[in-house]
Amino acid sequence: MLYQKSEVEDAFSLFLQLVNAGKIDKKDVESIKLYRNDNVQRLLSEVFEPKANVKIFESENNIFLVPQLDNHLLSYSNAELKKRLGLDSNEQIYLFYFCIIVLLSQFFNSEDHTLAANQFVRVETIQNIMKKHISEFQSYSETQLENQTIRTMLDITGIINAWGALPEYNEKAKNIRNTKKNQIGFILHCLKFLQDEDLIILREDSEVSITDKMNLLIIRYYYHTQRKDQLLTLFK
Amino acid sequence: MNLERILQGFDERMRNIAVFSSIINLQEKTRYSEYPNESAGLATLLFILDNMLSNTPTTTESLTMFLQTLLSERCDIHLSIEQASEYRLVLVREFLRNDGAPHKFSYYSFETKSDEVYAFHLIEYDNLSISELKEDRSNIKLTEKGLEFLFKTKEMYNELQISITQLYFKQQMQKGLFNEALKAAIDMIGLIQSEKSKMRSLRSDIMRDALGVSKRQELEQRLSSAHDKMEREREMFRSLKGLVDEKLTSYYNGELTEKEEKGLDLIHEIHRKIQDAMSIHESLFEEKQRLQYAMTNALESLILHAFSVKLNFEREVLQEVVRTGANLDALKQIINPLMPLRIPSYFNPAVIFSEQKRQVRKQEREIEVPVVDEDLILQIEMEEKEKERLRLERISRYLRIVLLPLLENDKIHISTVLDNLKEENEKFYQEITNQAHFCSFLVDLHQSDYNKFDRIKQEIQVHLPTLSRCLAQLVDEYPDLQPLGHFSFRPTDNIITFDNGFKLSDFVVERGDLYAISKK
Repeated sequence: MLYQKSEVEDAFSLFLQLVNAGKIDKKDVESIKLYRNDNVQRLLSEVFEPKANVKIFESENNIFLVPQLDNHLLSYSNAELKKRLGLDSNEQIYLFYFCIIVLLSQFFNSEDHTLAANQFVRVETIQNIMKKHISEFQSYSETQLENQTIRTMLDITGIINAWGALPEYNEKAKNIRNTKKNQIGFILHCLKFLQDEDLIILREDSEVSITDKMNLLIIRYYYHTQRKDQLLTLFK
Repeated sequence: MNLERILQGFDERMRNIAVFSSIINLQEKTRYSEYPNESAGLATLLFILDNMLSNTPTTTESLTMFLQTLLSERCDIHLSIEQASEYRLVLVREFLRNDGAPHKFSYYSFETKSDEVYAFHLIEYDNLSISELKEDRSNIKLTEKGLEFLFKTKEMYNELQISITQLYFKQQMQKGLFNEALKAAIDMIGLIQSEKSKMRSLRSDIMRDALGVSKRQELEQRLSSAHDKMEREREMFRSLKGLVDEKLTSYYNGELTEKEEKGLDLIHEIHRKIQDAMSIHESLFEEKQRLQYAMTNALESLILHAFSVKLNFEREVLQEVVRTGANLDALKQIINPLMPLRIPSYFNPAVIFSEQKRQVRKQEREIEVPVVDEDLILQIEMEEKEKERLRLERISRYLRIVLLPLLENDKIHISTVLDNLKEENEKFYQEITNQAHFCSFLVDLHQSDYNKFDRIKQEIQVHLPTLSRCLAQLVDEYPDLQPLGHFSFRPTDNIITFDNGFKLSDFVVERGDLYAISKK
């Protein structure tokens, strides 16, 4: 396939714009005009996406760029994310990731998506599910210790400890949002981060719903044979 | 026996019944069982419907207020705002919204010969937008199912609602029953809005990939029939607007009956509402375009992936994470696409040669500071002092002409004072009447609380407001004023007209503290 020089330039400038801001607003008519060129799109999807290890897709109002599962260049490392979130330890980062997976499990849990999905989930529900599964870790740990690598087990005992160190609820806390030192406060802290990223909406400090952006990210990104397989191999 | 015929549309009927279960189940709730939960539930839905029809948002506060009023006025249960808010959380969030999860109704379907589960929501958030959230508003509205349910409790055909209301409006308008017509016009706005939200929910359904291959054709049919219907409605609206315009024209031509003339305001109101309805109706076409866009997109991705893949996060991810005890890096990778982008930055040794921005900024700031000219400041200060001195002098002069006559008279009108002045000192009179200072002085004097002829020490005088200071100086100058004690300064109904045509209400100056009396 031969491309015009100008097309490569256009695709590259779009790519740079996406890497810089994560998205292009569709109100940016100039950029959208470039994006509407078939060859530019082909360049983006056939050359830039695989080479940069990212996925670019279009929503109603934006064009998004997201890093692939194993993209290390464009995604925060654990340590960097820890700093950004203001968390103390790797165990807390684990809890943060785990909290998001629990949240997603409540919105993307139907087999056929013809049933009306959840409109919102209560923060307490997330807390209860996390509590339930983390206690499951505890019961597994003895028997699995032999099969698992020590590295993994360290993670798990760490998580149990980190979660156990948080009281369920701190009655004394004046403003629960300002403290990460209890379970609800910790979850709210995670949610706040997601909200700042426009991924969820938190209402009355207790009702969590997902935004169109999150919905689209999940459907366009994970609902894909190859990417799903890639994801599932992580558990092997 | 023709079972096929008897059971036709069985599922649909069952589903229609299913929606009722959500309200009926409220009777079995143990929490707040002392309250009429099922009735309060229905009333809440009606309250939201009413808000939707009048285009007002249903906020958590308005819901709480509604429940508090409802219970106190209709069942003699008096709740504080906190209690009512607590009840709202249970009734609306837990019962009516089922904690965000859909209500489910299982039944055996004779059509498909299998157990079926029907899931639905009654209430949903109005506009999932971040900007609204930042104002901490969580408005809610009825879902399409919720609306349908309410319509089913009072006979009405859902598909034809807009057309029926249009017809009704036409009838009422022709009969000259403007009140009814206005109501119908408002109903129409509500109906069109619900039509709009129906399209939106369909759009999110498509985006959620809910539509399998088989359903697509059905959707295309629905879209094209919706288009025809909307075109018909648009035509109808044009003719209705014509009808209203006609009424207005015949009013201006004086052709209306006496009774109809009284309704002119109503006709105007109807005119406005019809225009509103028409513009909202036009936005339906835009919504339809977005719907078509969503469908094309869904179609596109369907073709791209041949058969779309689904990922059940609860079963396929969460359970696996728990089962295998996935490690930190695995978890991170799962979440990776959702996390913000990290823009890598590298250190370039060449920066040492670049300009040092901070210093540049400092220099600029120094330039911005203006050179201080002490002489100029002194001059400005002198000018201001002079201005202030002139102002004080002016006020003292005014006080003198207004208050000194009290030495001889119990009371005197400003008009008399001015007349006397005109005879004695024509020049001063002209000066007063040609400047606004005197008027604002009168207003200040009238508004001032301080109305005592009192001798005040010089040291203290400096700290008094201008008017009081001048007054104290006046008393120093004319000690005879002190025995009078107080004076009063009140407006009268008379108007003074100056030679230059300027008008001012007349005031009366009196001895004695009449303010104190009126205060009592």
